[in-house]
Amino acid sequence: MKWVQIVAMSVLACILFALEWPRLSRLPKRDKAAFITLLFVAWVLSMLDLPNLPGPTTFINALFRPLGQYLE
Amino acid sequence: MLETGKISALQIGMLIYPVVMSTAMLSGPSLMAQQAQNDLWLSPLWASLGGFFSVWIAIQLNKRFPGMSIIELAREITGKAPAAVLGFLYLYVLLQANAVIVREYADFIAYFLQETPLVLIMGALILVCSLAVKGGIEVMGRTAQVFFPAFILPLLMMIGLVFPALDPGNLLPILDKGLLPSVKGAYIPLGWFSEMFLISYLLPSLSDRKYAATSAFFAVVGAMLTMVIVNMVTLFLMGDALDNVLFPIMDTARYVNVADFFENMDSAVMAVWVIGVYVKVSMFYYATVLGTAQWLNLTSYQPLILPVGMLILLFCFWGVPSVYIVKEAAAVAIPALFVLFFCFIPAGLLLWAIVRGKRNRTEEAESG
Repeated sequence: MKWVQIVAMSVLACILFALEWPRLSRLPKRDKAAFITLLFVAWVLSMLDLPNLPGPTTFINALFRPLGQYLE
Repeated sequence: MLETGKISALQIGMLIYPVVMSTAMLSGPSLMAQQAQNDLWLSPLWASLGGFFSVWIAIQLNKRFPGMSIIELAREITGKAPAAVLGFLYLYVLLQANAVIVREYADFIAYFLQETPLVLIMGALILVCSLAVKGGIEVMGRTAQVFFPAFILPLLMMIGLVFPALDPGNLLPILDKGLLPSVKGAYIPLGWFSEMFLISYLLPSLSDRKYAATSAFFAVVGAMLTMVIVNMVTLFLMGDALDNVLFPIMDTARYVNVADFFENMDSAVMAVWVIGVYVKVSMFYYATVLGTAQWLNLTSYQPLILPVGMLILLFCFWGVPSVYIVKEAAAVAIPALFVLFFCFIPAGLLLWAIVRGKRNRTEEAESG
């Protein structure tokens, strides 16, 4: 399962890259850098076992938990 | 300017109404009933005050800084460094909220399509929305306009068909425990109404600016009335049981049975929900992508669409081992973030701009 996920997400990242690059190659360096950084971050994240890692949703839930208790 | 398309004021109203209503159509009545019991019809009235406020702020900011979204005008008002931090926080909130919306949608659809993997349901929605965002603001405006009747009519039809079974006696006793429960019940809808601030990303592309306020005002009033009516109908039908029902409007539709012919209207509710969530997710998606491009001073927002889509998909899973985490986020954290980022921070920016006497003079001269 783990390997299927890694291969599938890598293929997805490659497809996205292939789809965008022809048009992107004519744009300035800054645009290219933004695209590649975002895609790279997404690709690295997709390698991890995300559901069981603490993430942004865990963070905001912890941050606003006292408010939730007040509303109960 | 990054966005060259133009939309009409009517299209803004039709874009922003489903943004507020789509989540409310799913579990709104039972979420409000949990706090407000039989006074839940009052909660949307309190919550809509937040909607009027955030629309008013968005329009005032747009008057001072025409052609700028919140990311750009923050830079004009506060200067480069604070605006960079603020912009990043805005983009994070948009991405996070979008992930929660997509996850809620997928959990609802998985209730029907039990064998389908969640990632496929989410991927399909994000793909469709990415195509809409790629088409730009005009495509989004027109699809919202085309889908608008399909969003409203099934709901009206359902209310009409279920009408004979309603028992208005469930409304009593009115305000049994005072106003506080209904105000507490307004907390979650307040978050939805704050989303009205997303018109800040649409106003710069508006062709007829003088009707902007009217259109946004009618969208808020429309959303408020729809919520009040839907809350009353579900309360009249289910009474005390309402706060335990997971998808009250679904169950109301399932109840419809006229001459054994009009049956299983719940599929119509599901279709309406898919339309609404398409508009909502594309709106948040568009705001994220356009905001990122403005934040980084890019020349085009098009290349960012697909990577941001992939990020939304990952955020749907990140730190979410079960559906309860999403429910908690949607009930407490997300409304708080919306009120903070779509009401208070823009209001603070507007106040700062007024005190410092800042406005964008060059653009104003151009637009006459």
